[in-house]
Formats: sequence, C-alpha cells, structure tokens
Amino acid sequence: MRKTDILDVVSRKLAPFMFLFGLYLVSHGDLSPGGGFQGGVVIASGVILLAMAKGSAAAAALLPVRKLAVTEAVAFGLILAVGLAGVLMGAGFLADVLYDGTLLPIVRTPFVFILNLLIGLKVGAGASLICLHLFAQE
Amino acid sequence: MSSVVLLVVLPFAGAMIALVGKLVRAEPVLSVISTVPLLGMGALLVMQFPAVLDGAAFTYSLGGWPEPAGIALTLDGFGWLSSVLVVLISTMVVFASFSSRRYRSTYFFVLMLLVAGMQVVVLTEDIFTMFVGFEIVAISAYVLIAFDRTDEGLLASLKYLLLSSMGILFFLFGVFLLYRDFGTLSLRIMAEDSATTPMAEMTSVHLAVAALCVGIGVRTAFMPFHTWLPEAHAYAPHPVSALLSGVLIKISFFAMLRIIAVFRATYLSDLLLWIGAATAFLAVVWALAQRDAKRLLAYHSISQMGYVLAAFGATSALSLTAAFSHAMHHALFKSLLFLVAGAAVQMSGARDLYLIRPIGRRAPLLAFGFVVGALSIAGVPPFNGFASKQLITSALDHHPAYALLWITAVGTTASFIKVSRIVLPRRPAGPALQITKLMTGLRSAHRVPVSEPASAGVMIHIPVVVLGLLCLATGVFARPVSLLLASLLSPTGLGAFTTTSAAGDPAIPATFLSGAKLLGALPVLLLGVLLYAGTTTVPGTRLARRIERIMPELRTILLFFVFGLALFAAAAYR
Amino acid sequence: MAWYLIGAIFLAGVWGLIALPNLIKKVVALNIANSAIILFFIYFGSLSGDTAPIMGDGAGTPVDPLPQALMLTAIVVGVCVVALALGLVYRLYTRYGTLDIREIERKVWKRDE
Repeated sequence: MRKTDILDVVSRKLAPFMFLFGLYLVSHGDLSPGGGFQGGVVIASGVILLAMAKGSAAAAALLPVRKLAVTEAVAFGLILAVGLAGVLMGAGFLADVLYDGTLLPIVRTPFVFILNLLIGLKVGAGASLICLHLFAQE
Repeated sequence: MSSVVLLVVLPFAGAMIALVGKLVRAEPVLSVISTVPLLGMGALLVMQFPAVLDGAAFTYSLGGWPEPAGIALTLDGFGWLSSVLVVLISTMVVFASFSSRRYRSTYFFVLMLLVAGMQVVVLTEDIFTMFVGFEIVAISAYVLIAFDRTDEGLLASLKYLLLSSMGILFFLFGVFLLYRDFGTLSLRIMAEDSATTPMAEMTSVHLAVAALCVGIGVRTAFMPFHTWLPEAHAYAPHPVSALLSGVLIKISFFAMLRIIAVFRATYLSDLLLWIGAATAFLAVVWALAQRDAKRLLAYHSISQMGYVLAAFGATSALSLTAAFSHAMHHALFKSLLFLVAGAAVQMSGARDLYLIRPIGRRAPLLAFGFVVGALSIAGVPPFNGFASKQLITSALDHHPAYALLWITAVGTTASFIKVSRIVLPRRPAGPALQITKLMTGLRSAHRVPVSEPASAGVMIHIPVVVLGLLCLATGVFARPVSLLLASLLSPTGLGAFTTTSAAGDPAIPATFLSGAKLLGALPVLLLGVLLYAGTTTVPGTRLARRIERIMPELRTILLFFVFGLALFAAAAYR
Repeated sequence: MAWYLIGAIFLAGVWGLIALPNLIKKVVALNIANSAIILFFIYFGSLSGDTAPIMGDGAGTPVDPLPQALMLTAIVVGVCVVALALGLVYRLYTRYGTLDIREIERKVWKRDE
C-alpha cells in the first residue's frame, strides 16, 4: 500500500496541536473535564499519529525511547513520593498536604494539579512506550 | 494506622527501584534492593501481630476520605494471615530467584508488582479496587509465565490471558450489578445493607455473586475453570511456578471466601463442596498420568485446592479453619516441591520424570527438602499435610463427598512415589520407560534448552531449608497452629459465616498424632503403593499415556467456562 | 432498550472470544466485550444527572462521578491486557506463521494428525 502525502502533511501539522490539547487537559484537570490520564493519552495519541505517518523512527527521534522510559519511572516514583508525603505529615496516604483550610478565590487545588501533572507524564510516556515498542517489532 | 497502607505501597516502591535499576545500569544491586521492601512488610506484619490477635481490625481510608466515597484498606485477622502468606512465600521465591543470573531487574519489577497486586486484593475493602488488584496480579502473572519466551510458555500465557480476561469481564459485570443495587463499592457497607435485606429481595445480587465467583473461580482454578493451570504453572520459570501455585491461587480463593461471607451466599456451599471433591479426584487422576515433573505438580495444586474448597463448602464448625490451614500448608509444601523440582529440571536439562537425572547424590539437601514436601502432600504423619487433612476429615464429618477425597489421598501417595524418581538414585525404569519411548517418541516438548547451567545455585538452599522446617513445624505443632488460625479468623466477618459450636470453640481435635489416627493413615499409604505398582504395569502405563494425551483445545476450555457459569447461576437461583 | 443493546454487544464479544479461531479476532472480541461492560457503567451513571460533576457550576443535577472514574481505570486495565495479548500473539505468529489457535496448539504440542 502506497502512502500519500496527505497523511504525512496532516499528521505533521496535527501532532503539535494534539500535544498542546493534551497539555491543556492535564493542566486543567482540576477545573474542567479531563485530567492527567486523559491528557496523557491524548499526548500519547499524538506520538502514535507521528509514528504511524512518519514511521516509528521519526517518533523515536522526537521522543527517544530511553527518555520516555526514564520519564515514566521518575513520574512513578514521584507519585509514590507525593502519596507518602501525606503519610509523613500524618494526614494519610494521598491526602492533600497543600490544603491549609482557606478557600482560594478561583477554585484551584494545587495538590490535584501536581498529581495530574505527574499522572499525565506517566501515562503519556507509558502509552507512547507501549505503542513505540509494538511498532518497533514490525 | 499508616502501617496498613505501607503494606501496599512498599512493594510498589520495590517495583519502582527495580525499574530505575534497569535504566541506570546498576541492575544487580538495585534488583537486590528492590526486594528489601518484603522485609519491611514482614516487620510490619510482625509488629501488628499482637493487636490483630486481640481482634483489632485496622481500617485505613486512602486520602483521608471516609468510606462510601473513599477506598478503605483493612487489616484484620484474615488480612493478616493472607498477607503473611504472600510475604513469606514471595521472600522464599525471591531467594530462589537470586540463584539464577537470568532473572534481572525486569523480572524483579514484575515480581514486585505481582506482590503488590496480591496485597491489594487481600487488604482492600472496596470491590472495584479488588478488581484492579486482580488485574495487576494477572498482568504480572502473564508476563512472568511467558518470561522465558519458550513456545509452551507463550501459549500457556496467552491461554491464561484469554480465559481469565473472560472471567474478569464477568467479575466486572458482577461489580456493576452490586453498584447498581447498593450504590456503594465498599464490601463492609454492602454486608451491613444485605444483612437487613431479606434474601428473596436480592435477586440480582444472587446473579452478581455468581458472576463474581466465576470470575474469581478462573483464578482459583477449580473445575471446570482449571484448564489453564497445568500449562501455565508448568512452563513458567521455576521460582514463578512456586509463587503461582503457592500463593496466587490461594489469594483468589480468599477473595471468594470474603465475597461469599459478605452476601451470606450459603446456597453455594453444596455446589462448592461437590466441585471441590470432584476437582480433587479428577485432578489427581490426571496428575498420576503425567510424565512431566512440573505438570504433575501443577495438577496436584488443582487437586489440593479441591480439598480446600470441599472443606470450606462443608460449612461445619471446623470448615473455615480446615480450609485455611490446608491452604496455608499447601502453600508451604507446594512451593517447596516446585522449587526443588525446578532445580532438578535445571540440573539435568530434562523435564520428563524418566529422563531427569536424580539429584539425590549431587544435592542431598534439596533432595531431603523434596522428600519432606512429598511426605507432607501425601499426608504422612507428622508433617503438616497430615494435620490439615485431619482437620478436613473432621470438617466433612462422613459426608458422602469424603469418599472422593479419600481416594484422592491414595492417588496423591501413588503419584508422589512416582515423583520420588527425581531424588532417589537411578533405578531401571521398567516397562514404563519402554512404552513411553514407543508411544511418544520422546517428544521434544519435554526437554528444555541445554544451555542451562548444570548447578542449581547456592541461594536456593535457603528457601528449601526454611520451607522444609516450616512443613515439619506446622505438622508437629498442629494443635497450637490451628488454634491460632481459628482465633485469628473467628472475630472477622468470615467467622460468622460458618456455624461455630456453642462454646465458641471450633472443636479442634485435642491431638493430631494419636495411635488411632496414625493407623488410619496406614491403609491410604498401602493402597497408594499398590496403585503406584498398578500404574507401572503395561496396561496401567498405556492408560496413563491415553489420559495424558487428553488436552482440551482453547475453544473447549472456553466452553467449559460457560458451563461453569451456568452451574453457578443455577445454584444461585435454585 | 439501551440495556438490551449493550447486553447484545457483550454477548457478541463473548461469542467471538469462544468461537473465532483467529487470535487477533479473539483479542478484538475481548475488547468488544470489555467495552460493553464499560458502557453498562457509563450508561447507568449517565441516568443519574445531566451536568458535569464539578462544584460551583450551578445549574442542573450533577451526574454520579464514580462510574466514570471507575471506567477510566477499567479502560486502562483493558488497554494493558490488550497490548500484552497482542504482544504474545505477535510472538507466536513470528514463530509459527499462523494466527489460527488450533494450528498453533497442534504445532506446540506436536500432535500428529
């Protein structure tokens, strides 16, 4: 099957916007529908789109497999650390350690934001890794 | 109490360390460090022991959210026992894994995830979290079974994946029905709610319980869901086989116990009793016909779980204690047997009983451990198998199904005389080997790659010695051990499920080693020897070959599953 | 009506898992059955309200957020299982050159037929 230029061009133009939208979902997860997991998957689907259109080598050049693996491991560790921080401060596992009892004017919860960010990193890196590995076997 | 959450988080931290070890190229060191959390978990469990023995139940809500919304973890006597089992056997398996250089950080990453998943399953109070725990366990198990990338391993892993994913779909469906009816996922709240609702008004709950039992039943591998187990356990790497047979199938059984107790599903007990007895009997027939050492042991795992299930299904005063103690004892001796059998396979490069070079002279300590394990599983006094079979006998109390279990004991003895071939000095194989050679042409499926190291390593002696001593100790001190089990289990919600005697004392026999009981074990042993002699004759061998070759295809296996589903649903709506 | 439709999807998935010999189709069928269960939860959750469950929005009754959160987890788990299954199928395919489970089983166990 011959690949056309349309797929190539569209995916190149589309992928950055997918990354951006993924980041938006990750960073606004505490305010609107979305969150770390959904955003991470959207980012990963950008990577998959690139890999399908330009080949997994191109996607791996943008996001090297090793760096993705490191990101995933570090994010995993940080999530555990954030969870355990609650235990250390006597508030319980995954308890909101940043909440001091005052309501902010805009309803943002920094703790959930941080968790979303970490989960987004972990899921984005993990899902991209799964697909890059599957593509690389071909 | 934050120690409860640490019991779940520590193995995840261990997995993370192993993952980092893979990336920073410090594999050997970090692989070892990744298993240190097991020691921490052991220490935590020991620290909690006095309080748990007093009947305390520590509940811990994740994130500090109270229960209808939050996820609770509970450490009570039941959770403590299951957790101890997980930590003990995993530690032993980790030692055994150190003896081979093939197992690097990827292996330990998956292994620690498996441990974490099992901890989630036994400690959680939330049924959806239990589902997640089951899936963590399952995914790690699939990876570990296929870890050596042998053909049989890959196929066994895929079969297990398809069957247990189908099971877990039904589990999830059960979770949905429960959530629809109760509006909560907490097992504790569901227990409170269903205690006040009459049975007749919970029609969809019956369906949910049947679906949950089927989902878990695939993991516990009783008939008719057992078909994946012989292959999965036989072709996994050796230490993994010990872990799968030792702990994994018990964990799912414990989860099923909890679910049956929560919904007071006593109508299932007759079904479980007969399924258990049939499982025990049929599996031992297949076990007797096997030539592959690890496959034989895997069939015995199914058979022994049949005992456990039958004991539980009897719903007498002793049945919970009997089921638990046999599950615990089986975990000890079966991991021991799998570790030694694995070492023997590794040392001689052959899996076939008639081709394995006996390890008796080259590794006497391992051989001795194997003999201890074999005597335990055959129910020879004073080892622990004898003790828990005593309990099961009293629990079943002359129920007709007991006859099947008695025959199973004979078969178990016979097949372990057969397996003793791998430790005793070589004897002429007699007609068995000749016919085997004639009929099968020694299929290459029963050989392993020759590149294996010929030595089993030093580290494997530690778990073998520890487990062997535990087998002896729990057998000799059977009465205190079973009293301890009974007192740990009775204050939990499970204790209310079995009918205890008026005094509250679960009627544990005063002595496990009286003369009459020793005499009672004698006919089983004698008949076992006779049966073994029978299988070595020409017609016996031919029959065995024929039984061994019955291996259902995947489609048949999945149809078995549907049959089992119908069985459970029928029992629920009878 | 919708309940029966979702039930039909579920049964179709289970049927595919049992009856189709092609391994890729089996994995897809597994995914379909899994999606049906997810639909069960999501549809049930959607009946409980009409707006997003975010505090401070005001109008309308918020839906029960729990089924959505649960199904997110179930989807993740499903993706992991499917990825692993495809990996295993791929390995078996490279060794045996077929996706037919019956043929693979025959070759692995060296049954002579």
